[in-house]
Amino acid sequence: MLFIYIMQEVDHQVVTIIVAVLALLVFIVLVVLLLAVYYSNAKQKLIREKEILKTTYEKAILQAQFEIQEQTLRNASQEIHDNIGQVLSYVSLSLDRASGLDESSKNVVITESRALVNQSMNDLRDLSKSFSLDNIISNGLLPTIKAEVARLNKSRLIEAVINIEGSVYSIGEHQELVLFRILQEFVNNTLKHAKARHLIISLRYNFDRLTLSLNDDGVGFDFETQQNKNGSGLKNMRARAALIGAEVTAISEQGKGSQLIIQLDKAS
Amino acid sequence: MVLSWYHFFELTAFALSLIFLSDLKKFKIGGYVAYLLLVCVTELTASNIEAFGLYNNHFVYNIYIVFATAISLYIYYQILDYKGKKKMAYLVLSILAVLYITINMFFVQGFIDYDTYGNTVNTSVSIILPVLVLVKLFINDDIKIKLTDNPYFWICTGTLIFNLCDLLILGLQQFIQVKKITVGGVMLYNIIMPIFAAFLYGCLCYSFILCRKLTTRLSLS
Repeated sequence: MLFIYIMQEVDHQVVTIIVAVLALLVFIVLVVLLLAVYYSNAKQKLIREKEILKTTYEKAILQAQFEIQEQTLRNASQEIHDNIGQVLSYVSLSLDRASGLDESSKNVVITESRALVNQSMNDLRDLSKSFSLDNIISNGLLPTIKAEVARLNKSRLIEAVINIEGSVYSIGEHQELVLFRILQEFVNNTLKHAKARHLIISLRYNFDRLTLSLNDDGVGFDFETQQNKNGSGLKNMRARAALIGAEVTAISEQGKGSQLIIQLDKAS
Repeated sequence: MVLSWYHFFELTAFALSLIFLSDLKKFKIGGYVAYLLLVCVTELTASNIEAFGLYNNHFVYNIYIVFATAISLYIYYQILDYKGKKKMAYLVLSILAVLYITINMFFVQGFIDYDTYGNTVNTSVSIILPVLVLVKLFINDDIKIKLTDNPYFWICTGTLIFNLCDLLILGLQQFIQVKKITVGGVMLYNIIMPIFAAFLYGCLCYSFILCRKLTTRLSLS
């Protein structure tokens, strides 16, 4: 009886050990598989987020490109209407008037008209160049900004100057496109709301960082109010800057003008 | 005719593989129809040996091991989809494995005794290959399907767990037999393995349903 009891006890122990080993084995495999599932899901989530980010970035770049083109066309349209159109209308009227004048007066009118037509031709040539303003990829940021400054000065809406420090380098096509769009937005806001007389655009090319600084001497704005406004220009500029990894600092006070500083690492 | 509870899982898996055959083919696992047919025939024959006038079921399982190994190797060959040198190495090793089991059955352990060497090879193949597939699934970034939504994941999980337990239990089989270790008069093997068999064929059933779902989803998108 004792022998049978001992044997049953041994059997019981062996069964327990086998079942325990099996359970442990299954547990280990399941833990490994669960970890694999967890990491795989996390990895897929990361990939999806990366794809969404990439799409958003591409969309924003396209949007910036589109807006630059739109702005260029708007500027060109304004230039044709306000300048070339006016000059040519004046020439037309002068020539109409010249038919009834004597010979010497006629010559004066013709000479003056010729000069005005030549000026309009030059303006048209400049305008034609400005159509390629949106093509920052081929022109580069600096020539594009210089052309913009020239256009602003010519328009006499504001007196713009550009300061450049350091040796010029490219920070990448997309980055330059976005920077130029921010500059355009700032200029538009200045022209529309700031009542500024002067605009200073500074580009500082440091070894590892580019700083674009935009200053106007306009009426300025209340920083808090502007920040809380939905869809405000400042918010837009910040969002665009974040897209290319740039840091934006906006400084403004009522009556003391506005300053926008955009800093971008060369590597980003 | 004896029909144990876990046989229903095998028969269900076989039925589902037939129903969703076209979907299984799209996932390159159409071979499961042959495999599950073999499993069902083997299990039903082995459970009813008296009806076939056999003394024990070792002969049935020995034949099963040869064919099951060959079919498993074919199925994983399709799933792993190796190219170049890897493909060549896989084919050579597969042929060697099947040859080894066949030679063992004919000339070494014979038909009457249970071919433990053959079974060890079969079980090892059924552990290594699912691990390779799982690793491939884990490191592959291109796959758009979530790991738990992937039919291969459930096939490999079921196969891996079943065969790990099978290897352990079969390793102790002789010890269990000699010591006559039973629970309630039933051999330990016959208590534990049906549970894992049910898990394996349950996983297969689920993976076949996933094949169907994914095929429908992909054809809709």
